[in-house]
Amino acid sequence: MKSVSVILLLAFAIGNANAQNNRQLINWFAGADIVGTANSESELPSDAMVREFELSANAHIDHIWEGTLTLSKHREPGQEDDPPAEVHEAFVFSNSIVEQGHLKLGKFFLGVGRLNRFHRHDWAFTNAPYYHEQFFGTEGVKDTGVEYSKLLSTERYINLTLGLTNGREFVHSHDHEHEEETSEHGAAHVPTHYARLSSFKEFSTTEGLEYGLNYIGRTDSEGIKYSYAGVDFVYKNRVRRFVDTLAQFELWQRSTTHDSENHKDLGAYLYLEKGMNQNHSFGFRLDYFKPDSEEHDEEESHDHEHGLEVENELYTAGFSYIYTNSEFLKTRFTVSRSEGFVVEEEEVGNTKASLQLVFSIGAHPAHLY
Amino acid sequence: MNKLFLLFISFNAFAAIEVVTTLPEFKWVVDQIGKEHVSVKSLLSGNEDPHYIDAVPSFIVKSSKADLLVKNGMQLETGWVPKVIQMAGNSKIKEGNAGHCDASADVDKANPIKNFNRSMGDVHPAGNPHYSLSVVQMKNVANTIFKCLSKVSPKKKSEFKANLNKTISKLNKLHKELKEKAKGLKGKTFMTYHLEFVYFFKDFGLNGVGTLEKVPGVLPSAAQLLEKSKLAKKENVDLILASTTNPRKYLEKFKEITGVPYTQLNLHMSDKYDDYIDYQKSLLEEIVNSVNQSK
Repeated sequence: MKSVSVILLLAFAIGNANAQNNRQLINWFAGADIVGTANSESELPSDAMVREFELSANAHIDHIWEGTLTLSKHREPGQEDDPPAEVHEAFVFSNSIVEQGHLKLGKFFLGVGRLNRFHRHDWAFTNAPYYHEQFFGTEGVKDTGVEYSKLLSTERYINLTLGLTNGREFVHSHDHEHEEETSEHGAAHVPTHYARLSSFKEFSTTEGLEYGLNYIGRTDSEGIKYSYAGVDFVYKNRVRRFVDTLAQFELWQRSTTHDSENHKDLGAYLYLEKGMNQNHSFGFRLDYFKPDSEEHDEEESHDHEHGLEVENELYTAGFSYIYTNSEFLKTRFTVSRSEGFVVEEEEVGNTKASLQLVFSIGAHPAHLY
Repeated sequence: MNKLFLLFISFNAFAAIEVVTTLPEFKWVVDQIGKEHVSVKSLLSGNEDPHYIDAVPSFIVKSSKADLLVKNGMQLETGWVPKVIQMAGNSKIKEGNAGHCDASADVDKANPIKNFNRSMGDVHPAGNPHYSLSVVQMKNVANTIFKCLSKVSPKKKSEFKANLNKTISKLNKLHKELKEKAKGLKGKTFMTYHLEFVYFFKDFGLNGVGTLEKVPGVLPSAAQLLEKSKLAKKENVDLILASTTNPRKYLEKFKEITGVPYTQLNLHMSDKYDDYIDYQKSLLEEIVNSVNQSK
């Protein structure tokens, strides 16, 4: 009830502020992500819901800083309770302090990898790969701190991003149990620190390949040390008004060290999309996850969407049809098959079908590549 | 030490103004006015649809070192230029600063919209942004670019002014020549796929009677094409003009229904042309040839 009131209050504020938009140039954005999911494996939830509702405002604060405030309300499939709305992002951004550099202060999604740098409603597919849920949560990692990004003075595009955040939030979750655990444990021993080095190869003004190397480190309040190393690339070829070909790839390894024991988990996905015209496109995704040990981190394993363990390897292949009504409204139908879940010590497969409707109103900021 | 200082000063005095433009037509104008004092790159090659472009990282690198950015404005590049400027981290080219040049500033804007919403499709509230096809409007663009260059380098203002006058003379001569050539198109009726020829038609007093798109930026449905075919028949349309970035399938379908031929033209100076004058001559020639073939 409380969160509904907050959203209504904000919506009222938008109405009033709209009259002043022309003078103050505030960009207001509201978006919703509605998902229906059906699973063949009975241990997994089948559900239909407004998975995400987001309200965001962005504007110049003064001659140096821009501000972004995002309030979001999420609910994952199978989640019984109705979680409150939360501050998703609250940060200031400046590209005026250092030439060819940007500084971000506040709460934001960490600028690493591919998926983590985009809001979920802007992803090319409906659900995160299994490894992503395990490593970074159903959406991505957001935290409070500072991020500095610098475009190197070279002819070629080379961008270096460095960040330091307090480490209190890592796996982004809307599960109450998880949040309670996090606050009980208190601050991380070693705050989250991360880096991304990325470059770009231009084939033409509408065709190119962006690639990056990523690192994230953190030691939690119990002394468990996590480090993540990853590579990502995105290839895009735009023909006339639509993306003709999209190829997106991420590969991450998580290393967990506790009491001198070290475990390494590996995860990757490859997504290919072919556009037929402005309206119709087809996508295909292959996911892979390989845990190093049966000893999973409980804090993270219980709150992901699948809710099932993987002991050896997990393979998922999924096919999507995407109908783009306009830049602001998309429908996506996906069918996927996973092999490698474990239920009562037996390996099982799961067929999942999902239907997603994503739309937005207001001024969505221009996207990164 | 003094010699070194003088050398440094003189080196800077001769350093060219680094300019990036979104469209190649503006590169031509900057070159005409800035001459040896500018080094210009166009972000787009002219083969793209400037509405639908990504904030490509290579654009960010090029813009990060620029002294001046020249954009079309009127929301044509709204999906990518703000992000390029933001990520370039170059204070000179930020909106409001001397290095940010909106080429539409002096354009006589056609069809501005006061009240709009997304049900109207990809509309541009500031007006139709496809003015770079117009020789007349390019004179206004030249004037704006002259002002922008003079702000960045006030000492060269008189040189820029002289070059502006020469450029305007060239464009006047071109307009006169093309008007003569366009006389052959008098009495002909045109439809366009998208509202891209508004300024061009006005330059030559040509008769444009509508678009194939019912909603700008949205692919027309079969029913909409059928409805538009009635208009084409009623108005006795001679030729459909479209951009090379417009979908051929819909133009073919319309031709099938109405029998009206179409021609797809490059609406920006592609890498085939170094000179806007040659580009404009070739554009009009293509239209004249298409009309003659349609007889």
